[in-house]
Amino acid sequence: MHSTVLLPDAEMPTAREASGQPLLAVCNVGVSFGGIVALDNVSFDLPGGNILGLIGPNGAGKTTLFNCISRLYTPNRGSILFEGQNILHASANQIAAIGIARTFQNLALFRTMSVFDNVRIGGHSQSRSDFFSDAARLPWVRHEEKVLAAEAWDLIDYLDLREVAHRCVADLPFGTQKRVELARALAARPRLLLLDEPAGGLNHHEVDELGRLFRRVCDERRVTLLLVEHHMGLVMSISDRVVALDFGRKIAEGIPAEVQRDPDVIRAYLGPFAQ
Amino acid sequence: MQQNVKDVPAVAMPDATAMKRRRIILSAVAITVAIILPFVVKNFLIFQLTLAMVYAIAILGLNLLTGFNGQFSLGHSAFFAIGAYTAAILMDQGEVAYYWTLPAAGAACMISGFLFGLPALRLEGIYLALATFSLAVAMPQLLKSSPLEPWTGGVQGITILKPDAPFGLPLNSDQWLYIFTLAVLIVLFAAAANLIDSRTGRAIVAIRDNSTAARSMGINVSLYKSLTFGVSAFYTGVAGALGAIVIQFVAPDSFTFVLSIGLFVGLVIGGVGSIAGTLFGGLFVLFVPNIAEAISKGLAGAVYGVILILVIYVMPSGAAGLVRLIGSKIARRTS
Ligand SMILES: Nc1ncnc2c1ncn2[C@@H]1O[C@H](COP(=O)(O)OP(=O)(O)OP(=O)(O)O)[C@@H](O)[C@H]1O
Ligand SMILES: [Mg+2]
Repeated sequence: MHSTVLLPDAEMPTAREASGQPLLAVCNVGVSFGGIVALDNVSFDLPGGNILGLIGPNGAGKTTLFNCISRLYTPNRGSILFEGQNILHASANQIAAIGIARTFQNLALFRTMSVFDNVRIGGHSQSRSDFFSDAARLPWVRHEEKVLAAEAWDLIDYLDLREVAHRCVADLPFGTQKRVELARALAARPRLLLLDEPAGGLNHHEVDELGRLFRRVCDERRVTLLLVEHHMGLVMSISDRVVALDFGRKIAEGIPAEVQRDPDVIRAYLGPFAQ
Repeated sequence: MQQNVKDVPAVAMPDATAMKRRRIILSAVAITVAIILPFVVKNFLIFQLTLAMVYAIAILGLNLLTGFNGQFSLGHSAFFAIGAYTAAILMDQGEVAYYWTLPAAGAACMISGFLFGLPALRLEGIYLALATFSLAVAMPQLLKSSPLEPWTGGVQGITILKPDAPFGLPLNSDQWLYIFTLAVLIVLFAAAANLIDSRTGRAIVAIRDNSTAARSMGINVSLYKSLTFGVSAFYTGVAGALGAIVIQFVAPDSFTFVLSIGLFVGLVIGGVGSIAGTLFGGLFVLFVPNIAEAISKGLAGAVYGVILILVIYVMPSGAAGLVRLIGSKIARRTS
């Protein structure tokens, strides 16, 4: 249905793929909250340079998995490897510097600040200033500020936000706020970007444009994407592979066409009487 | 995606460079007026204005913590007291020159603020307000307690000498203390303005707006919150030291929780999250109780309350908010 969206280039393996090590490896991850099992022994690999779609009905555990990867949660079992390193030893505020950025299911912008400031905070992990040097505005922090600002403007242009750059984010339409969140995440110069339902609340035209944008981010900026999305048209058209979760368990994995046809996936989405 | 942007009314934030230029011009005018003032008004008014600046610095400290970082404190009278006593004890018993007591008081408060900020990390909103309130309640009794009496002088407090103008400057000591306090205030306000308009400052505000997102951007939320607590206490402690020097006297009962509430009132009246607004807050805290007393001696408290309510009614987002509103009205009319 989304024929306008570019199809992935299946024949072009990236350097990392060739070396055999996945960018992200989720191994036997289990999470429970009291009695609720949110994730149950979930494993999959994400090769660098790819877009992996993560689907599943409400409450399947998709956001919980994102929260584990961004270290807001610690899983009860399993490990998560990023470029071969176990990131469960890192804390949430170290994840951006490691190379993983994310957006949030329900926008989590800094509401009182401008677009420009939001994007600059996205680059926080890329610079080193401290309280004293900033209060005294030492020459080296001035230089750092300039670099940070230049990169923020670059992303603001990339995502077509220049007109609203000095506006407070809370005053902007929903779709624009979503692009600000994307710009903020990219400002951390991630190698892996986690996108939690980026198309939620957008109209048909906006979703199409978003799909093209993600493909561009992946190809031009060499960012690997892990995409949680309920909008099947978007997931199926831009993902290289898709993983499906249901009640915290992985029920299918494969190329989009396979997963879309998988009887377990159809059952999970439409209920047991669908067939 | 783009066309939606234009549907929104243009409540644009003013252009950053124009705003910066306007701020520099305003600061230059304000500083000029402030330097001329002690040569044209009476000594008692000079003394009062000096105290108003002292309060403004203390309120700025509170604002960094509460206004910008979102951590409530009703305990800043305690840091003010630590600063005041550090200065008084050093001058009285250590014979330390008054100007050296400021960094000492600041350092003592920064360390205590940072240490208090660590356990405070576990508390949010009103619970943090309550914990800091207990600090304010405990402080006067602590200062009166017998183990500390050899240093603090117990209930009697400590009397210190007023410094004279240095280098044979033709200033009386009120004028000199005014100029001295003004210089400290300018340095501290400039540092705060730099800090807020920097990577660190953006991180401080980001934590207030959304601490989870801030963490995911690589901000060490616990460390920044504790450090902000330390910096906030530093400002309030320096103000306390200045206050001791200006008043020439410290006693436990000058630093009850009523002072904390006073600073909090100054914060709200000046404008939460506004640096320049704290100047207005300082003036309000110093002068309005006196005005209330002048109107009715018996009902001073009630008059103060009425003035407070009226001011909040007229300026619901503080003096800073009112100035912003007027500024944008003028801008709209001229454009
Ligand atoms: N912090 C938490 N405390 C308790 N339960 C939680 C918590 N976070 C998630 N859960 C539970 O874990 C399960 C998975 O939730 P999760 O948010 O990961 O689902 P999801 O796949 O993202 O769903 P949706 O598509 O609705 O966003 C749900 O049953 C949810 O109620
Ligand atoms: Mg979710």
